[in-house]
Amino acid sequence: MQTIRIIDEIGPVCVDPEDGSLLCQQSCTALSQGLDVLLDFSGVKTLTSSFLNAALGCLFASFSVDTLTQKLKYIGLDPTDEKLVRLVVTNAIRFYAATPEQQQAMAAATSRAFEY
Amino acid sequence: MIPTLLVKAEVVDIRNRKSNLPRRVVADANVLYVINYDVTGLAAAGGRVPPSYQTRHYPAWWKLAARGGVELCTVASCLAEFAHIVERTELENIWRTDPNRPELDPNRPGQDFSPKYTKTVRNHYHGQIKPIREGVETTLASTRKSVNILPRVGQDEAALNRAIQVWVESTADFGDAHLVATAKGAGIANILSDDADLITFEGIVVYTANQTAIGAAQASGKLIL
Repeated sequence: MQTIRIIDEIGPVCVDPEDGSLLCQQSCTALSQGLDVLLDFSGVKTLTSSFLNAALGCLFASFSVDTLTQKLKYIGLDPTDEKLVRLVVTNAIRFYAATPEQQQAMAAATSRAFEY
Repeated sequence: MIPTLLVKAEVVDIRNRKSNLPRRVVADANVLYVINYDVTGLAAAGGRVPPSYQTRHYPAWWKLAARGGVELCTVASCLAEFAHIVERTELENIWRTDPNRPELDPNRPGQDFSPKYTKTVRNHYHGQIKPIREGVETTLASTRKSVNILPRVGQDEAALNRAIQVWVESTADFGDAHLVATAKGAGIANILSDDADLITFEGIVVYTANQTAIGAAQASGKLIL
């Protein structure tokens, strides 16, 4: 089991997708080696979707839902952040289960939100 | 392009990491969206949407601001707009990925999605409204953890009156005027937004990565560090 303490790796403000990508790479490396990964969010003050999307969403591109359900765990989340993590994971599962055409459609809708 | 004559606000280019941080700032709905709405797996899929300059600069600036002790605020009406946009985007996603999706206008087949069809789509997918709104609720709860909300109880009517005054004097829409008036009413002149129209308001500083706003401010001598 590899424990990744977010406060040590990223700090208390988890907003930036670039930071999320770093976390994704770390998790990805450990999971590829067959290790279980425990993400410890203790001490994190700000946690947003922009960060979580890059940190967690990307894992669903490389690993199955079953693998991630078994091998990826979270601790140190308050109830609000726990719900947010669940939402990001649910959306990632939905996204990667979609066909490439459907993924493009979702991307288009998201990018146009403020263009109307 | 916004005519130089109409540029009244000062503008800070947040792409410049050396720009000064304000003590307090009020975030617009478009920034809340970029930071707090889950753009699901798109970064991993190679697409950084919304536009890459938004997903790159606003979260990075937000991180700097939070670490630098900036008081991050928003306006209740921005949260309402944010919630509406998120719900609309989710509905559009469902409609676009539904192989049996309904025609939006039976009299004009083949219509693409636009906000005017939001109610049509909402009614069609009424069975999915609750989970969508539970997701929006989670997103809002998460957002509210990182921002203070203006106005505080009891100030709504005064904020509305100020908004009307500001709106009449500007060329922007009423929502922008309400945002500016509420921020100013709370003693905050700094607005974080990707909406170039905000630079037409007097007496505020707009923190932005929007090149249209930055270019217009530069041309009119309103770009500051």
